[in-house]
Order: sequence, then C-alpha cells, then structure tokens
Amino acid sequence: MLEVEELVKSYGSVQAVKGVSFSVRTGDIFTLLGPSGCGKTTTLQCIAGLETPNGGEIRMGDAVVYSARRKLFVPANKRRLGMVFQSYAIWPHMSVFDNVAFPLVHGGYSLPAADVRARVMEALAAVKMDAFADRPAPHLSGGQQQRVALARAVVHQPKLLLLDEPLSNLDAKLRDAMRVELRQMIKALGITTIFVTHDQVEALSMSDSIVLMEAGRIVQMGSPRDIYLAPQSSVTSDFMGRSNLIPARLIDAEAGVVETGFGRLTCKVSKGLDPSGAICVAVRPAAIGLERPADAGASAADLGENRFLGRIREVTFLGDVVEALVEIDGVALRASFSPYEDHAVDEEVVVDFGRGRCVVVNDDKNLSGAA
Amino acid sequence: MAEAADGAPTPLQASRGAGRSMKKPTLIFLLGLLGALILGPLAVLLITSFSSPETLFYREFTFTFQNYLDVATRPGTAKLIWNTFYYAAASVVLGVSIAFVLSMLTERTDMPARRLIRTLMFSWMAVPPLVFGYGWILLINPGNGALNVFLRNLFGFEGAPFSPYSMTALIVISSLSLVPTSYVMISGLLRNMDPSLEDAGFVMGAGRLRVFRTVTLPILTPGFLSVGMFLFINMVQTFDLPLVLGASAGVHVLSTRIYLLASPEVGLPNYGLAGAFGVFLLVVALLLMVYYFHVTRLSERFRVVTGRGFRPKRLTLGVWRLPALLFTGGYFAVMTLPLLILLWSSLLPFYKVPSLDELANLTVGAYGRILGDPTIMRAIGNTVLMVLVSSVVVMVLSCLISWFSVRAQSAATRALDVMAFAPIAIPPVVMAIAMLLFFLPTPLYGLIWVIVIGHITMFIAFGARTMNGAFIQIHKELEDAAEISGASWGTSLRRVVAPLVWPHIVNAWLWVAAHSARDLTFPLILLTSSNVVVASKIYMTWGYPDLPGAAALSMLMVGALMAVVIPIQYFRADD
Ligand SMILES: Nc1ncnc2c1ncn2[C@@H]1O[C@H](COP(=O)(O)OP(=O)(O)OP(=O)(O)O)[C@@H](O)[C@H]1O
Ligand SMILES: [Mg+2]
Repeated sequence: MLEVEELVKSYGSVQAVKGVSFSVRTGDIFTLLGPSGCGKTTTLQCIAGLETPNGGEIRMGDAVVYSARRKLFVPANKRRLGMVFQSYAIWPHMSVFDNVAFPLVHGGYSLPAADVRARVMEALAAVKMDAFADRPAPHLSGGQQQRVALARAVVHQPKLLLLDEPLSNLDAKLRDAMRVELRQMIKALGITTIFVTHDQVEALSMSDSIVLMEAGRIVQMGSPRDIYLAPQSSVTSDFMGRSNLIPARLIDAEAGVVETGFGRLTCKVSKGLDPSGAICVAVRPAAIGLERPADAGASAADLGENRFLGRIREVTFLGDVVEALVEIDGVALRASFSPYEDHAVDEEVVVDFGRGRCVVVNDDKNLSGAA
Repeated sequence: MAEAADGAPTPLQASRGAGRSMKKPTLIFLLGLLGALILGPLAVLLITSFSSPETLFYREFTFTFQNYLDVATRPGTAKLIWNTFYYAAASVVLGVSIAFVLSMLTERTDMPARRLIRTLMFSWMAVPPLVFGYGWILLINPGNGALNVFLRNLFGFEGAPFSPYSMTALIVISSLSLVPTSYVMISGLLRNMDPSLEDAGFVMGAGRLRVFRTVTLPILTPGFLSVGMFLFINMVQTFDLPLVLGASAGVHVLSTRIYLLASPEVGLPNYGLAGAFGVFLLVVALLLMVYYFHVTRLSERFRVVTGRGFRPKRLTLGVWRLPALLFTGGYFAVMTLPLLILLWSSLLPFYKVPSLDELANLTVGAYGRILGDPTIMRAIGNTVLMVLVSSVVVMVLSCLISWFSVRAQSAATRALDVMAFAPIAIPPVVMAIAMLLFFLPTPLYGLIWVIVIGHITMFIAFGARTMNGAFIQIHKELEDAAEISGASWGTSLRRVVAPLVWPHIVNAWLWVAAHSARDLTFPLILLTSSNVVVASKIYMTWGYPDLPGAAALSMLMVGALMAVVIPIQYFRADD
C-alpha cells in the first residue's frame, strides 16, 4: 500500500531523516516508534506531503507521490489522506459537524448536501460522537476532540490514515482506554494506518508492525512480539521497556555461549549479530527467575545451566509486580517477581536465566557500560 | 447513498483537476508590488535631490550636488535639526510619563471606570491631530482664545496667559495627543508581564513600593525604552501638528520645512531642495530605526511574556483614589476642551467666545451650509472611497505578507517582511513628496488613487506587524489539517486562518481606516482640485478662513469616526 524508499529530509544542516525505507501492507496498523527527536514526525510529514523531502521516493498504491529522481512532488491537498494531529487541530470556530464535513465540502468532491450530511453522521457514529454533531468544537473534552479528529480524518474514506501521537494529549487513564478503542475503530474501518508514538506500550498494544527509529535511521522492523522478544541491538532492547544489558564476551557464536562477569551464559543469538563487534546480553527483568536455594533442588556447587547464586539487595513493591535488585558476583541486575511470592532484602537466591529468554545482541551504543 | 449494496463504502470521486498552487505566484506578486511601491518613489526622490533646483528631473536632468550643499550651508539647518529633536524628545518624555501613570492606574489598581478609560484611550485615533490642533488654537490664541478670555475676565490678567504659537505650546499639545498611543503600548507591556515575578517579591516579604521599585521597574525598563524610542522616531517624522501650530509661529521642524519647500505659499516649488532635505530626514529616520532594532533585540532577552493570561492582583488605591480620579479626569477634560470649543464654533455663524448670552444664537446653519456644498460632498465621497479601498487593500496584503513571513520562512519571505516594515522608517512627508514626484509625469497625478497608493504603502507596516503577531498564535497544525483535508491554500486561508484571526484583522483594519481618514500629509502634498478629501478640505476651509465651516466639518468627521471606532473598542476593552 505504502512504500517509502531511502527517504532523506534535512532542515538546514540538521539531517532529521537519514535514508529510511519501509513498506506497509494494506490494512495494517504500522507504527513508527522511537525516542523524542528521532525523526518520526518528520517521516510522517513527508508521507503526508506537509514537508518536502530532500531525497528518496514515496509510493502510495501505484501512484508515486514523491520522487527525488523524477523531481515529482504531489502536495498534501492532492494526496487524499486522513490525518490526526498531535494537537487534534480541531477548528475552534466551527461546530463538530462542520469540522468533520470540511474534507467533503472543501476537498474537491462535489457532493450534494444530503450526501455530505449522511457521510458525516456515519463517520461521527463510527466514533460514537453523532450526538455531538451540533456542539461548538471548543466545548469538547480531550477524548471527544480526539474522536472528532478521527472522524474528520476518515470521513472522505482515505486510503491511508496518519496518526501523530494521537494519545499523548490525554490523561493516563483515558489513554489506556483509548488505546484499545482506537485500534478497534481503525480496524473496523479497515484503513491502512501509520501511527507515530514514542510510547512502547502504545506501539506494542496497537500495531501489526513496528519500525523502531533512532537518530533518523531505522534500528529494527518487525511484529510487536519480534521487537519485544527478539531485539537485534541493545538500543532496541533498551527502548522496548526495562532491560538488563549485561556486558559479555562471545565464546561461541553458533551455540550462543558468552562469558559474563559472573559466569557463562547460553542464550539466543539475535538475527544479524556481528560476532566481531561488542556484544552484551539483553534480559528482561520478567525473564529472570528467583528461587530459594532450598527449593532449587540442586547443590550449591552445580546449579545447572544459566543458574547462579545471588543476593537480593533491594526490593520495591509496585503492586502488580515486585522489583528486586539482585547482585551476582558484583554484577547488579533487575529482576521482577509476583507480589504473591516473598523475597526479602539480603536473602540469598538462585537466579535463573531462562535459556530462551536471554538474547545476545550487539552493544552498538555501549549501553551496557562495558569497557 | 454512502453505503453501497454490499455494505462496502462507495469510493468518493474527486471532481477537481490538478490545480496549481497559488503560493509562488502570490509571493512573487507581493515582492514585486512592495518593491515598486517603496523603491520606485524613493528612487525618484533621490534623483530629484541630485537634479538642479526649480526644475523637474524628467524634463531636464543635470546632475548636481547643489541641493545638498544648500542644505549644509543654509544658516537655518542646524536650528531646524535641533528643533526637530528637541520637539520629538520633549513630547515623548511628557507624553509617556502621563501615559505611564494612566496605564498603571487602569492595569494595576482598582481604579473605577477602567473599561471606560481604556475604551476612550483606544478610541482617540478617531480625532485627527489637525482637528485637535485647531481646537487648541481656538482655546488659547492670544486674541480671543476662550481660555485666555476667561482668565482675563476672572483674574483681570493683562494680555494672554497662553499662546499656541510657541515651541513649548507645540510640545505640550503634541504630547497630550501622544498619550493615547503611548497608553496602548505601555498597557500592553503591563498586561504581558508575568505577575508571578512580582508575587515572588511579595512572598519574600518585600513591600508594594519596594517590589515596584526593585522588580517591576527593572523588568519593564527595556520595554519602556523601546516604546520611547519607537514614539521618538514617530515624532521626528510627524507633520500635522507642527504644520498647524508651529508653522504659523515660525517654529519649523524638518517635516514642515520640507513641505513648505515643496508647496510654498508663494513662488515656485523647490523640489530639488525639498528632495535633499527629504533624503536627509529619511537617513536620520533609518539610522534611528536601525538603532531601535538594536535596542529591542537586547530587550527581547528581558521580555517576560507568558501568554497564560494571568492577571496581576490589583492594588487598592485607598486614599489615593481621589487624586487618581482627579488626575485622570483632568487629563480627559484637557483632551475634550478642544473638541467642545470646535463644537461651539460650529454652532455659531461667527466665532464668539463661549458665553451664556450666545446660547440663543446657536444654529446648525454651518452644517446645512457645508452639506449643501458640492465640493464638500465630493470630498466626503473621496474620503469614503480612499478609506475603504486603502484599509481593505492594506489588510488583504498584510494578511498575505504575514502568512508568508510566519509560515513559509525563506530568503524571499524575509525580504518581504523587511520591505513591509520599512515604511515605518520612511517619514510620511518624504514618502508623500516622493509619490508626488513619481506620479507628477503620469496621468494618474491628481487622482484620489495616488493618495490611496500612498496610504497603502505607509500603513502596510502596521498591518503586517499586527498580523504577524496574530499568525504566530495560530497552531500550524490547524492549517495542516485543512491542507490534508484536500483544501487549497486559498480555501485554507479563507475558511480556517482568517476566521481564527478575525478579531486581529478587525482591529488592524480599524486602525488603518481611522489613520487613513485623519491623515493630512498625503492629501495636502498631493492636493489638486479633484482629489480633495475631508482632512484637506478642513485645512483649506480653516485657511479660507471659514471658521464655522471648518469646525462643522471637523465635528462631522470626528463624529463619523467615533461612531465606528468607539463601539468596536468598547467590546475589546475587557477588564
Ligand atoms: N522545522 C524544523 N526545523 C529544524 N529542525 C527540525 C524541524 N523539525 C524537526 N527538526 C529536527 O529534526 C529532528 C527530528 O524531529 P521530529 O519532529 O521528526 O522528531 P520526533 O521523532 O517526532 O520527536 P518527538 O517524539 O519529540 O515528536 C529533531 O532533531 C528536530 O530538532
Ligand atoms: Mg513528533
């Protein structure tokens, strides 16, 4: 549906997007994820036609909307897209109805008034705002504004819907509710969607496919599961939620054996690992099991593969989960356990690194702090 | 309808072909237009200043430095420059001081009738300086000035205690008429100041006065300096009052000297010398403007604007209430007196000092007479045309120019921005003479349109400044949303941008309309028999002399302007 090839965009001397390529399947919710300033909005604005790129090509269906080579640029008002802005950009001088009707009335379709009315009410009904059609736009809550913005973005049945951090202006509780609802609404409409966010929870819960960006480049692409469970670099692992990055030395790249500060670990090997580069082991706190030595059923001398003796240094009760700081041979790690288990500070524990749950990745930013 | 039989939405068919964007052609048009409007006349002025005096450069051009030598060696030149600066500085200091007290009272204290005071201040633009000056002449001329006569009768003074024909009188009257403008600017400064800075002072236990001295004043000082500088530049260029009051007293400033050289009462105009003086005044104004930008760039760093709209706590006046009311009331009385005496004069067949005995002779005869005069009807028609066309064109151009300089930043739009602002540094007298010289050889000369073109050129600076400020407040995504929705640039401007900045457009339009109506500079310098407007008609009627006629016409003009200005300003002047 959408193909972006080697997209480049600079602002003066700042290169905001440095050659980004991806393609989006019809009907997918496709997410651009990354830290602040990584170029997500810029990429989206180039797709929208609100910014003119400096290089590359963008195709929608079989139409080329931008091509540096062919010196072709279709302006935003000719691309027939739908977009929800971070600020919602609801026009305050119009009613809800007029806001939603705008693309139909001024977008170059000649529709009879009755048809406009039918389509607008249909779009408002899809976001459960049909009762508010005559309300002046400023008299809406944040969540309602967001729904109206969505209705306005889809009323003219665009092939592609662009969302720039649509949830970031909502308060935390509403955000949780809207995540699910927004996905349901988009899926019901069946529009291919590009979604920009810096929040990995939003990205994981809403997308069919994620592109993780950093400093104007793509770091990893894949399904939410892939990105979360099979990070290809320390950057991905670090960004996708809390992760222990343990400095290590590669012993056997085939078998995934590494030497860490506290002993030998056997892990999964990430795709495209560069064995000659610096590496580290990425382990999520939830992947680490803690057991009492007495229950472990093994002698202290031989705990078995990926199991080590450690000591709990700190316990933080968070409700849903309890976090512990565990020390093994001077290496501190974050682990988490269920609140119904009971571990105390200074307790000695057997730390279990599930074999399939640690991943060897390249430490591209020296995030693990290894020398 | 929207749903096809199988439940899938019918795809919409776009009916519009691929239109071309109007942005680029518009930008090129604006650049060309401003360039022609500003640079064309100024180039002609420059050429004239280098051509031999008392000839017209387009008939025979001989290059000479004669005019500049004349300017430099004339015995009066030094005095003229001193007069100009002294006049400008003294009236700004006096005017800003009064305005500061008034704006502190209405913005920071529980002064009663604040909204009324604000409304009146903002509405003062409805009173042309020309009319204000004539009012003062009637009040304090040495012969039968009403105030002089009263004081003579009351206290048995010999001679006249006041006279409008001196530098001092010129300064005092100019500063009075400068107060409303200064008030608008200073109260804006006070409103934009973050009150939490002052609160911080109070929390630390400092007293009101101390906070005022140690926190408020230092924060506001850069703002005051920039307001003062700005007004000073304006006063150096001002023309109407020095012409009406100073020229009769032989007190000249640069602007009136230039005018008299170009339109002498006797003899031939000396365009060459007027041009040289004009170039000199232009350079002075430009230098001041460059310095002004330097100063304001510094003050930007100090500026504390929050835009959160928190209003500071108001001081309780307490025992100071009476003196504050007396001061404000006194100021308004002084401002109203000249209008009252004009009203009085317009109601009598011959001017008489106001007295109860004359009440019986009051008549509206003068009004009937002037409204029956076809030349005056023509002047009114011209004025309406001039005001409407120039204010509407200025606002359309200003909106476009500001849109480009705020939304589409590039070298071209920066050039546009600078060109739109440049007329602030061009003295109206200089521009008017430049326009005169520019259009003299063309058939357009003598048409009301030349005055319209002059006003458009001069007032674009104000319009563009105001609209820049307005557009900056409009979130860019509001426009992006329109573009994504498929709207063309023009539709987005008309349907989204313009409605959002509408109050700013109305305000700026009002200012431009009022200033176009009250301006005397362009109508007088470009005066022919066919392009008389009300302002120049008042000037001519006064000089004729037909005092009741001039007074009646003045009152009609002030009344008409006030009828438009005051309601709009009242709705704006929220507390
Ligand atoms: N108009 C602009 N002029 C100059 N630099 C810009 C402009 N817009 C963006 N940038 C720069 O480009 C880079 C990418 O910006 P972008 O807005 O795409 O980031 P983002 O990923 O959307 O971040 P955020 O999550 O904070 O919205 C940043 O370094 C930013 O400073
Ligand atoms: Mg962004």
